[in-house]
Formats: sequence, structure tokens, C-alpha cells
Amino acid sequence: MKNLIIIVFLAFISTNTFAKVEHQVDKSKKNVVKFISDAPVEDFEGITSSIDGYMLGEKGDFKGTELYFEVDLNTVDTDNGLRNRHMRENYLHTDKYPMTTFEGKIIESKKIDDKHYEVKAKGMFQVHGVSKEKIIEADIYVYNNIYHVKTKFVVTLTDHKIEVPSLMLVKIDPDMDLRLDFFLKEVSN
Amino acid sequence: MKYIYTFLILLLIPSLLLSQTWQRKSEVKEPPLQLFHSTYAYALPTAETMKQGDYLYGISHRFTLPVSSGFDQLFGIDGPVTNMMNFGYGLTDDIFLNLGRSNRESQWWFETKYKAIEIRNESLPILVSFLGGVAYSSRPTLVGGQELESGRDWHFYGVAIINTLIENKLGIGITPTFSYNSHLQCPEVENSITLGAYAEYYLDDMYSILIETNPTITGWRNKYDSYTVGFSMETGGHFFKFSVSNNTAINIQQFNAGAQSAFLGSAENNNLHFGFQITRNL
Repeated sequence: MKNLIIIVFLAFISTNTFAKVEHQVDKSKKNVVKFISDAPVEDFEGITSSIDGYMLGEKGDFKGTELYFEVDLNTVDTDNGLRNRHMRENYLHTDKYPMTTFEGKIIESKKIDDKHYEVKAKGMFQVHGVSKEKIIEADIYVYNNIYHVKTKFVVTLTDHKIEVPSLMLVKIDPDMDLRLDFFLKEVSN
Repeated sequence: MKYIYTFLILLLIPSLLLSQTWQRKSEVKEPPLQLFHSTYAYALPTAETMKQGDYLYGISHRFTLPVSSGFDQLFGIDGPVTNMMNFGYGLTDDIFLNLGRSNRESQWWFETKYKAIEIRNESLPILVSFLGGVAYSSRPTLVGGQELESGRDWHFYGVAIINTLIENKLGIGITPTFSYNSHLQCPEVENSITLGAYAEYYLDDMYSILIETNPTITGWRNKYDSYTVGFSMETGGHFFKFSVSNNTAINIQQFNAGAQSAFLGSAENNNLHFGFQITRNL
């Protein structure tokens, strides 16, 4: 009987030590994904809230956390219907590649304060059907069972075989800024 | 031994917790079905509307001197010219409003286009829209001492628009149209039913070849059916359309009344007019 208690205790400890928590994108929150481009006449932004995905990692330590996020490119709105259509049909070819995705793992985590962490994630960033390894820096703010993630990084269109669009016959900057600001909430398994 | 099994089972529990449960919650969003790129071919409407809140501004010219006037008159570009401006607005993604003015008869017009049917078929997608319009000729050009009866300066028209796009390259549209009070120079109100048709072949992302015709099926018609041929250039929210036509009118109501000269025929009738249109989507 004594041995059984010890085993159960050890198992309990191991469960809690290694148990992972999953956070999924909270669709009820104001999630924002922005694509910002330097254009010759005027800069333009594409905005969507259609981000989805998860983070799976140990509580209290982001290092090693697995993550996957995807954005539905058909929902990106540049505030001009014709430009949206050009973007979808002529450049991103969303009929074939509707999603842009990032799948990877947090490789570094630095605690700034009780609620704020700076992390680096390494993984494969895919857009237009072409994947490329990328290290992305992000800030994560922890509020009880909510993660608030903010990040920005640059995507070079030519790296993903995306033709560089032109406005008024002048090509835009092939480097496009991506800025993400979104929320995840803990889910119980 | 029993304890070891128990321990191993309990040890498996954490590994069960290692996998994620996330699943995509919604299907990938389908964008609206869009076949033609522009809301109008030359004069005839396509089934396309605009995104809610988008604006459109257009300027169109059709030179009344024919191309055959030669270099002395720069092939008609020296003018005079039929000039039209229009201002469109996407009230919703499916309802498009368009207000315009032509210098011919100083005509104001207002149209509403409603995108009614989308059929998503891979080989033959179809869009059907309906357009209703009213036009007012504020300074009608009359022949001789003709006097207009009360109300004759108002025109009404309705268009059913059926579009398809084959292999993402060849857009085809037909536009059966009813026009009430087709032409002011008729002694009495005359109506027309036309069967407009156009085809646009997209050479690449920027250039396309566009032809348009508008045969009158029944009712009043000017001397000839209308034909327009040319090409379109699309860039950065602009459409530039260059054409020649045997009809110097550009807006639907006046274009529907038919052409003054033959498109191809005897030398004296073969009066093609150069046209230029630019629209900006905002």
C-alpha cells in the first residue's frame, strides 16, 4: 500500500511537472493582422482579424512552446475592392494558397516582468505555397489564462515567389511589414 | 509487477496531455465571385458592383469628328466631343449606385445596379445583375421647330446583365435592355428593346481586348446598330479604355438609341469615332 501511494504521488508530480497547457486564438477578442507596404504614391495596408491557431507549452515557461498560426488571406482588406481582387488573383493566388501559416517553437524566452515576456520563435513561415525558415520576435503579455501576443516582422515577397505588385506602373517595395496583435485563451483538454 | 504497470499507465497521462486539440473553426472564406474587372464594358454595364464604401470616378470622351477626318483633325481628336462624367458608389457589396452627366442634351442620369445571382461553377461561372436607370435631358437638341411634350425629357431603362468568364480569360456578357422614350427627336414616345453583348479577352493582368455591340431587336433605332472595338488597360485602381465606335453616345440611355453611321460599309458611312475612357476606383 505504501508503495502504491508513492507511485501515485510520483505520477501526480510528473503529470503536473510535464503537463502542457494549450492556448487557442480567442476569436471573440479584437485580433489584428496588418500587411503594410511602401508604395510609390501612397503606402497601403491590408487588414484582417481572421487569425487562428494555438500555443502548446508548459505553464510558466515559454521556452519549448509549440505554436501554429494561420491567417486567411481571402479576408485581407486593403480598403479598396479592386486592389483586394488584384492582391488575391494576381499576386497571392488565394484560390490555390488561401492561408499563410507559421509553425514552430519558442527557442528563447526572457521574463521582463510578471506579465511580460519577450520570446523568439523559430519555425517555417509559409505564404503563396512557399515555406521559409524564420525567427520571429514577439512580446507576450500574460493575464490569468489569456495571452496577448504582439509581433512584427518583414516578409520579402520574392522569397515566396510572389511577383512584386506595381501601383501606377511603379513597383512597390518587395519587403512587406507584417504586424500582428492578437489574443489566445487557455483551453481545457 | 502490478505497481509497475500502474506507474507506467499513470506516467502516460502527461503524454496524453502533450498533443494540441486545436482545429480550424471555420472554413476558408470564399471571396465574392467576380468575373469582369470593370463595372462597365464601354457603354454597356457588366454584372460587377463595387465593394461597400468604394467610390468610382469616370471620365469618358467620344469624338464626334470621325477618325477618317485624317491627321489635319488628328483623327477626330481635335473635337468636338461627347463628354461624360460619372460618380459611382458601392452602397453594399451587391448594390452599386451611379450618377452621371453627358454634355449631349445636357443629360443627367442615375442608375442602380443590383447583383442578384452568383453561380460558382468552375467551367462556367455566372453572375446576373439587374440595372434600372432614369435620365433627364435638361437641354434637349431639337430639330426644326419641334416642341417637346411635357415629360418627354425623361427617359427610363432597365437592363438584365448576364456575365460569364471562361478559363479566366474570356469574359462574355449579354444585356437585354428596355428603353422608354429612346430618342427625343421622335415625334412621339418610342421605346426600344436591344440585346447588347460584349466580350473581353484578358491578355494578361493589365491588358485586354474588348468588343461591344448593341443590336436593336424591336422598337425605335437610329440608322444602325452600334459596334465598339478597342482595348483596356488596368493598373493601380485605374481602367483606361481606348476604342473606336460608330456611336458617339457613351451612356446607356443615349447609346441604346443606335448609331448614326455604319461601323463598316460604304466610305461615306464608315465613320468611326475615337473614344477614350478613364475610371478610378477609390
